[in-house]
Amino acid sequence: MKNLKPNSKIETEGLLNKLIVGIVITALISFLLTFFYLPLLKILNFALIQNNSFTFEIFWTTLTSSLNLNALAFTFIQSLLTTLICIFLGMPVSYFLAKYSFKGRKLLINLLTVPFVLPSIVVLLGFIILYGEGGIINRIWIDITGIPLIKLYGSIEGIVLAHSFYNISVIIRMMIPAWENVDQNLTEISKTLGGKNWTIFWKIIFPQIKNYLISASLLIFTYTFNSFAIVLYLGEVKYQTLEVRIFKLMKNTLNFPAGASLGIIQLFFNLVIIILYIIFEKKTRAMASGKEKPFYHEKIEFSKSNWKKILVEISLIIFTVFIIIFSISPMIAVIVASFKPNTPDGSPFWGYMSLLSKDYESLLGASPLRLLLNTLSFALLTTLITLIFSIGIVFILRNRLQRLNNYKKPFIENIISLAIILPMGTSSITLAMGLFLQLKNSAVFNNNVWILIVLAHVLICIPFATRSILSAYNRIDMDLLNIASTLGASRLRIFWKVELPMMKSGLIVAGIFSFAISLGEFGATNFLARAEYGTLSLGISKLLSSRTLQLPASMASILIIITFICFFLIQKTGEKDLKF
Amino acid sequence: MTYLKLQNIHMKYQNEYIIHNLNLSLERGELLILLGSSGCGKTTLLKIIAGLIHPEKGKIFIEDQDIIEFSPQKREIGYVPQSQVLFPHLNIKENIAFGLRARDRSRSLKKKDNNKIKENSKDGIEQKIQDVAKLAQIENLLTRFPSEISGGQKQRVALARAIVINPRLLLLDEPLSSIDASSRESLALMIKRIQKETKTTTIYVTHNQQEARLIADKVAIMYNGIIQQSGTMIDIDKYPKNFQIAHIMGQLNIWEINSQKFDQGHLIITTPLGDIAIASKKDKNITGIQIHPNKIELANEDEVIRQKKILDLDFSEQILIVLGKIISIIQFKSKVYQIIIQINLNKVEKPFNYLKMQTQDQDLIKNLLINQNIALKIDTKDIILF
Repeated sequence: MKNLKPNSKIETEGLLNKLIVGIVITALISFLLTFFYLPLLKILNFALIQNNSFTFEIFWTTLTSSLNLNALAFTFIQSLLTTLICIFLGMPVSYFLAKYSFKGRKLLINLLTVPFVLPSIVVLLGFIILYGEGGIINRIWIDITGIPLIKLYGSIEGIVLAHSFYNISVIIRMMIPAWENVDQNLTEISKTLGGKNWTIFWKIIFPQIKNYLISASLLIFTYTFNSFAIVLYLGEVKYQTLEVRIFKLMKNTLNFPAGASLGIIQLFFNLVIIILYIIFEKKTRAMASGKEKPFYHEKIEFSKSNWKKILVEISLIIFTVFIIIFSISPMIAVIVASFKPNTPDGSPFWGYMSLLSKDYESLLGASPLRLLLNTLSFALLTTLITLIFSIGIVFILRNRLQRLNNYKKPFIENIISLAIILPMGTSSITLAMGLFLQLKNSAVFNNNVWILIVLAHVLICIPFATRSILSAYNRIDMDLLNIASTLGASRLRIFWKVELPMMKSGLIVAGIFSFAISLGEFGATNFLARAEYGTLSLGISKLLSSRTLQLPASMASILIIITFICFFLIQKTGEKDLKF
Repeated sequence: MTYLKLQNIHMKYQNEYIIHNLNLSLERGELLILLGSSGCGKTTLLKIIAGLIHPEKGKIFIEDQDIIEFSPQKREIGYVPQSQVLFPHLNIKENIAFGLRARDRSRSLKKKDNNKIKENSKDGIEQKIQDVAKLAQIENLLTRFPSEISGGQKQRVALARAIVINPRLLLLDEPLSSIDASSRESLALMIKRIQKETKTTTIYVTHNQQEARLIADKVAIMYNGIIQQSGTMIDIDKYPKNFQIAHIMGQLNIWEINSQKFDQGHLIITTPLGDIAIASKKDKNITGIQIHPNKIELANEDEVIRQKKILDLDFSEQILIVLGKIISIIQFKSKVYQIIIQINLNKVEKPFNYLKMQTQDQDLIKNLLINQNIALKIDTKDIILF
């Protein structure tokens, strides 16, 4: 006879599940409320309320000031330029890497992705060493032509070049699957139907890659739109992004209401771009999943064929090599510079030795070693907290998903995704500004500002981490969870025994990615950090104009090496879950 | 005693009822084939029975116990979904053990002072896995991972995983759909064997009537959100309740009718075969017709001419003449030949209709050629009306 009594253990586990979901939701909501939504309200408050009454006056004067309008215009122009240049430079490379098979292809793709995770201040240093006034490339160019190749400071080309360096990897990485998903059968059919190559490209191939291209462009646009460190140092007074402008208003002129107003304007544009991005990304996913089974990607082998094809192949190779050099030269330059003494009798290890000295304490606010320890511990804490919250978010989403399972419109899911989008669309300076305005008189800000730095890092990382984890989570077949429950596994058991192991790769990627982001975060840290709570990035920024670049280059080299290790680990575990 | 009873099940999908007042009952140990075309709500019904989705309305009884408020965990129903999903991070043995372990944990605490404490103890689990592996012929796969075995093997593992918990009811959703054609029959027979050996009451969902013919104890035909007819395969073949059921059962030569009128003791129906007059005392509503393939014969010239003459005058003639063109002739069984004829109504704009005729007449077959025009005669008494 079967056991007919209701199973009380499962009953209590069901209750426990509800309890846990309740706790997770409450914890998440209160976290976001205290450290994100309330600060955001505070920003609104500063921008729109004057003498206890609601007014658009500050907002309006801020918006119409020529300095701010210039910043807005410049932000758009440089984003647009960067996006176009990245498309131009990245498309041929992505095509080459998607279509051709050769040894070391995977390694190359990963090498080209590293710049994206590189700390911005390190990139800046690399650019100064290469293209700065006494920079290697400019010196060579002057020897040949008599004039410098590029003016890095106070010019739009310097900024756009540095931003392109950063973002080419986005185009390359996102377009490789696009090219791979182009249905070769369709192209062949079109050829048999007599289509000309050009017609085939525009009518058959381009529609298949269009959405990928738009998503990638939107991503590049938003990253460049919110760029801070590079513009802060290269733009001088002439060129400022909104992000830099807000920072200067808040830190130099202490005009909080104006900073808040600009922050709101920036947030608005960011949200528009992010929502567009989400729409187009969904379309690419729909395209990918609409296909019955993943295509067998036939890679082209290099072979002798007609001269026209060889010519194309050779130019593709040259172009790719050029991009690779462009992408890795700043890193190499930094590492080389770290061993290059200023004076003929200087030691090549002086930079690294100085890390342990206390000589720079007054300039840096703390010893270089302390900065390194700060950087690592902030990154570790950020990773830990981010992972806990991201798992929480996924846990809530899955509870909804499972219940709704196609039969009702997932209303709550939409609200939650919207609640995640908002932090995604908030720049690091705005995040820091909100925390600052909210807590500037509190004991935490005055005594333990590191807590706020870590919180800002967490808020910056959560969207990335959540997307990585969700990417892994979405690969789990819902039927698997259904089976597990019919087999008698409780919700919690399913979570531990099925879902968690199956999204392990996403979790690892999310963790490492968060670590790397926190490691190099500059904007929010620079905004909030005081006294001994600086990081390596801040230390490097303070030494940028010093006599020798050997010490900052040594610090940057350490960051480069850690970033490389992070990226190597990501590549080993679950590359496909890496979401920009 | 009825073992499983579904009562007044209602389910909406995006504001439309896909299951509307469905009732079904099943005896202990029976294998019921739930037959219906794709998208008729079969999978939804299985998920409702398994407790994975909650119906708008309705009750489910197993042995007179209403389980509708039970969670899937508590229902003890084995479920094998259409997609072949095994836990990819567990090997085959661990996949099968998953349910046993889950139950072990939830039960051992409760039955602390019971003598049979560890029904699912380590040895118990091992023994059960070995037994079920033998039953499903997967003993040699136990240490492999799901990515390393074939589709048919995956399905056997999924079946073993569902059956090892000794479920009160087993639900199989199109278990053969992703298996290659050559191994379908043997898997179907294996399912039947395991089902009989374990005496597990089973609902097996499919859209393929040939699968149903292979193993069914009982068939239930589902469309428009309810069970339209249930019974043995033979019963339904003999007396399909209506046109759609005959269609789902895969019967030959069935057509929907376009219009009908009643005139002078005759029912005149317009069909893809042409207008047919059938003697009838009163008007009745007809949805479709069926003609058995071996009730069709070749007509000779006289009959064709006669038919033409009297067509407009008198419907009392009980012979229907159909003109057509032979498309193919195949040897159907050792002595039976099947001829497929494209019906020639001289109306190109309409979709072509095909008629299948079966004959044992070898001499006749010898004289027929592909693409040859022929005339067929059908006794209107042999036309089955729905």
